[in-house]
Amino acid sequence: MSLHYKAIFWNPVKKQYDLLLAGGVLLYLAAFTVAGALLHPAATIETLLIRGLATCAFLLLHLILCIGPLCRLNPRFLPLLYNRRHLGVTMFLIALAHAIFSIVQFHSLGDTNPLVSLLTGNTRFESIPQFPFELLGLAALVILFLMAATSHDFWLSLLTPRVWKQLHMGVYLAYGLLIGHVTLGALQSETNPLFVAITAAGITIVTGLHLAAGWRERRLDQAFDWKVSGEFVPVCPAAEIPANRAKMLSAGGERIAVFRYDNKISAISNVCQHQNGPLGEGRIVDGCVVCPWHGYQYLPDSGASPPPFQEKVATYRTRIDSGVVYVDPRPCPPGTRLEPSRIE
Amino acid sequence: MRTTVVCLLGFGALLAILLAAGQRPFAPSKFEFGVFRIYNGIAEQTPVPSMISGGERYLLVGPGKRGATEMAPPGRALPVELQGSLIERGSTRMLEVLPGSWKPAGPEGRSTPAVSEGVHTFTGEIVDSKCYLGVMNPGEGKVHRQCAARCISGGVPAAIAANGGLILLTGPDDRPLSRELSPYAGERVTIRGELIRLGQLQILRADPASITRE
Ligand code: HEM
Ligand code: FES
Repeated sequence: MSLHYKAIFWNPVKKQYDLLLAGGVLLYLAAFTVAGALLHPAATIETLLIRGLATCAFLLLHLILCIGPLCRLNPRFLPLLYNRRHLGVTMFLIALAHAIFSIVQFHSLGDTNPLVSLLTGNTRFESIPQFPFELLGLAALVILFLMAATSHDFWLSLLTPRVWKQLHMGVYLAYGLLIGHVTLGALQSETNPLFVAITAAGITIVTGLHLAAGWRERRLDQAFDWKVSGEFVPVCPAAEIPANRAKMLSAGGERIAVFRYDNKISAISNVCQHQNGPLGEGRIVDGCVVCPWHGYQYLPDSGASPPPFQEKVATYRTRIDSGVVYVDPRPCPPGTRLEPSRIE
Repeated sequence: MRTTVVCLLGFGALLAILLAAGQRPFAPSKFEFGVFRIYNGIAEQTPVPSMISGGERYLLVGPGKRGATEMAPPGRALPVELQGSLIERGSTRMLEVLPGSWKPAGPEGRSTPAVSEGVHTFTGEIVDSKCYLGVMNPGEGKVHRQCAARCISGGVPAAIAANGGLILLTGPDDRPLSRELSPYAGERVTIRGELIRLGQLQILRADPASITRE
């Protein structure tokens, strides 16, 4: 565990990302409420707000869940991933506004505390069409809150990346709960088949992209997975690796990034210590490998972050024979400095 | 990248319009939220709190998810002056009474006789009359279930939305059925009792034991 955490700085790209995000959310809410008020003059503004916020948050959640596999399938989408945490926190805040408006609208000014009313207002747990769908939304909101509250890197280093990553896998549980919240709630009241179709399309896109990305990676792994027998495995001709870039391979179950820089070759683990970002998709800037996801840096010959940072990744021995790069897929302990192979 | 962003924004706005348009139609109803007018007339506690003013009968409820039973002193046919916000759906009218505005305006008057129309069975959704008549839109259905349960439990007269109309529900002794009916809020049920007519209002004096889920 490292003692320091990197502040993720506000830079112009991030500001632009956040501005676009805020603009997109406002555009969505405005489109929903204005179209709703014009097409359904009898609808009340509270209902339109509750529904506009709900569908906006749910749409953002779909986007968040799709970004991961989209980036694995096509690096063009990487800029979306760059600031996914702000997307997550924004989604949580919109969902929170939906929940608060719903509790005020449906539970306040009665004979019972609104929160008690939310928990006990419907006890038909044994029935599917009458199930208290609000409680599924509440459970999802709690998970989203935990994720939003621990999104800062301070928590990442305190909890260790492994635990943090596991916590943040909770987004899939929250997604499942919300599918229940929508199917047992709004879809029981609405009569238009459009809503069933849109919900089904959302589920299909999210699962389909995850399956496609997983399948592609498995195929890559199988194509390149050499048995580890103490042998060096061939990677590619050194000339095929662009300067300050890497070639990624998978060998002996390890994902390895082989970098070329200053006519030298070094191999390090492909897995960033921060959030498992793909280091081999990053480039070398000022002598350091820069993770494409949030900019963590590693020295290519030792796998160590430059001081004062303490992250370290495994390194791998390399060799060049007749212009072809070979790598030994047995990892050296993280941070082990190895002499780079020189391109003649 | 620019194309991706523009496509995402356009897609989002389009989806918003599609979802907003596709919503189930909203009932034509009215709630003069925050507008209180003065009403003079004869108020009655039973079978449900109501008053006749200017020849029209209005149901009476309290603010929020509360009934008007606590505001109106018991007794039959009391002349009153009060301030209320109008709630209206179809030909049924209701007033949300402003707390503290209820003033006795004279000696006891004559109550309207309720006309019995015999024993009837109705099948429909249990709703709270206040939201159904226009305070919320939609004021019925699964999404509104917990709110209806809260309103009925808080003393808003329960009702059954059946055959396109609204039939208010009371106990055989005209006691409100708050506790018995709130667990059925938002659900389709069948219920049996003596139907009575009070002006434009239809009221079922129902035996809560006769209720069955559909
Ligand atoms: C305490 C937590 C929550 C409560 C009490 C709650 C309550 C409700 C209610 C009452 C509705 C029906 C509204 C209507 O159709 O008029 C609804 C719908 C919906 N909720 Fe929630 N919700 C909660 C959390 C969430 C969360 C965390 C999300 C995440 C995105 C969410 C997404 C939705 C969606 C997509 C709909 C369907 C669209 C709609 O009908 O509004 N809800 N919720
Ligand atoms: S995963 Fe965040 S910097 Fe690498």
